[in-house]
Amino acid sequence: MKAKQRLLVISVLLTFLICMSLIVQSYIFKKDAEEVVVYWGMTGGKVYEIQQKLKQWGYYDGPIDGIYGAKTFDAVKKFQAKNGLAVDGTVGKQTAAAMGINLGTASGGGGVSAPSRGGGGARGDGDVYLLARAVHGEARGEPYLGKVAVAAVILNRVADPRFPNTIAGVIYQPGAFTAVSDGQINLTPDEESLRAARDALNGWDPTYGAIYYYNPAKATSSWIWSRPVHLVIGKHHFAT
Amino acid sequence: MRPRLGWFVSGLLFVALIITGVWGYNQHMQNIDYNNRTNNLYEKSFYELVGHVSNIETELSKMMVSSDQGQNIRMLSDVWRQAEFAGSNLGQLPLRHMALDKTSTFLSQLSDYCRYLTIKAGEGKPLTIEEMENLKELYNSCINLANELKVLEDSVNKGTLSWQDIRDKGNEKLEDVSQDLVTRQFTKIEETSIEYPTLIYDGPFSETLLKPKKLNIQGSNIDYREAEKIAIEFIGKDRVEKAGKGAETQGTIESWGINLETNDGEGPLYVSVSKKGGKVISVISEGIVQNTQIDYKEAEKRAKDFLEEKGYKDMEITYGQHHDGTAVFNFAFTQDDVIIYPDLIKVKVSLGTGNIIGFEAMNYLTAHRDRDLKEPKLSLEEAKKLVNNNLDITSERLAIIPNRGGDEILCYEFKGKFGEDNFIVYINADTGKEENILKY
Repeated sequence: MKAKQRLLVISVLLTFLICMSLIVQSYIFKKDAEEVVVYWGMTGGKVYEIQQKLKQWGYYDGPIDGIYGAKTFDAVKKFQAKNGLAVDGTVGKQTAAAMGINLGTASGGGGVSAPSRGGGGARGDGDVYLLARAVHGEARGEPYLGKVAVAAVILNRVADPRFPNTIAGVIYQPGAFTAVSDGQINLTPDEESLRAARDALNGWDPTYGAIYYYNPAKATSSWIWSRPVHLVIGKHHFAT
Repeated sequence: MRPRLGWFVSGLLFVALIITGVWGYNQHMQNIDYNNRTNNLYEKSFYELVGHVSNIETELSKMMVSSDQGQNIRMLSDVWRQAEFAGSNLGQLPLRHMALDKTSTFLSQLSDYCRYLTIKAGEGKPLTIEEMENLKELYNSCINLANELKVLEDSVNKGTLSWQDIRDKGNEKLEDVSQDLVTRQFTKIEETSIEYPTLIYDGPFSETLLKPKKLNIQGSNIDYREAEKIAIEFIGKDRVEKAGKGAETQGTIESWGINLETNDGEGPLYVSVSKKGGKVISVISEGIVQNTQIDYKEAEKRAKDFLEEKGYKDMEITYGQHHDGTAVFNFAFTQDDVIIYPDLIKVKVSLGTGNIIGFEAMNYLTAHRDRDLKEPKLSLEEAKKLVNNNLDITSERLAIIPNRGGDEILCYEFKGKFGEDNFIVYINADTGKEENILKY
């Protein structure tokens, strides 16, 4: 009897705690997001922006690759020393303000993507990053070839009149990619995805013009099965 | 002892219930709020789409009765712009893209075609009878599209349509999807309303460009064994540790895939060899480079030597870039000192080992052929006079460039500076028209 009572008390306490933590969580997360600091080891759109600014002003001479490495670190320190900021090599609120960069609350970085049709037009680094995020969300765990292929499909769609004419338009077309629907696209892309995106933008297309792909184990649409499959890489079937 | 414990437990449960209730209510309200916001975005896209299509209809109808060139330019450019917006709005609706294929193509081509006509009219050339006929057909399709959209607009106005439901249904099977009004309406548009002429003109969505590219390679078909041999030979026998069958492609471009493991630490190379004629179309690898030991100049030389060794003679570097310890070079074919940009090959070099880790010859293999280069009608000096005086010319030569419609044009290429910026200006070698300006 005693044991049963104790069990009851414990379970009630547990339920109570879980409820409380759930509620507290949703508020804490909101708070966390407000303080964004960019530091060594980070990658992404904000790093691109920082590198671009620093390069423009002559503090930085490395590649604008969106990767916060030693060179970026040194350049940030130089910038901070010159501008009378605390020299710590990380870009917080004040350093960002001095650079004229809005760190915002999101980690993703868009950048301007010029509408590029049919392979023409200028493609900025923002496009590389956005494409890399889509690749990371859609093809994590796939071989490198499969990642380049997914990026190539997105670019093939941009050039196809049946689809929107910009990279962002294609990626964010409702229901077009599961990684966009479930938010996985917001993960920070790894180096491999960035490389794959860049290769695809440079013209490598292992699919030779595919505009669809699907995972036969997960595909729910009967329509997609009717498309002629061109090749299979990893779990993905690529089709036109 | 016992009643106190009972009170304690039920009290705690009661508090927990209240807190959970409040929390749940908040979540519910938040959910409604988010639903409204997404729904509003969908509605905005939809209403804008309807607005643009009806504006296009009006402008095209005015085109039918206008006889003034200046008016035509204004109306054509308006249609071009509005069709572009309409296409973008359409892409934001939560419908399966299969239902939108034709409508989207229609808007893309309409925008593209009107862009072409705007530019043409801007050059002082009047529209031909055929182009007017095309516009008339496009106008008729546009009327149908606008009418079908109005049916939808009515039900959106009545509030009987929830985009959220459509979005959710969009994830189900096609049979179910066709039940909802929006998809049904769009399917109707796809099946009956839109008929448009085959548009062949100088633009990226021209019918001629939408046909898939074909390899221009002669020779007989090879089997996988031969392809593997070719791939190993291409990369270099001494670099290859292991070879295995990779992704095979079918369709307009048939190729064998070979995965090669290398001994230089460059990771697997994915080689694609054409089934017909056995040419290497592309080599892809991730190219993770830890320490760079080769400088950019040296990499450039390696890329050039590699191409020559593989039998690609008379290739000239046109562009280079480097990222993360790898360098990518673009090469174009030259014939009698004329640089032929459509015959493009890309080579990627590791700045760690200096080895070739990427290759892409799709453009070259589809475009390259024996060309009969004609003498230009304009001399270099004549063409030079046509370049804007602001450009400080640093180099000049003849070049063949692709135009927007995929045709090749012979041009004089002038590289030069304006302030700190570098530009390339292309002057048509026969007509003197300024075909293109690139900034790099």
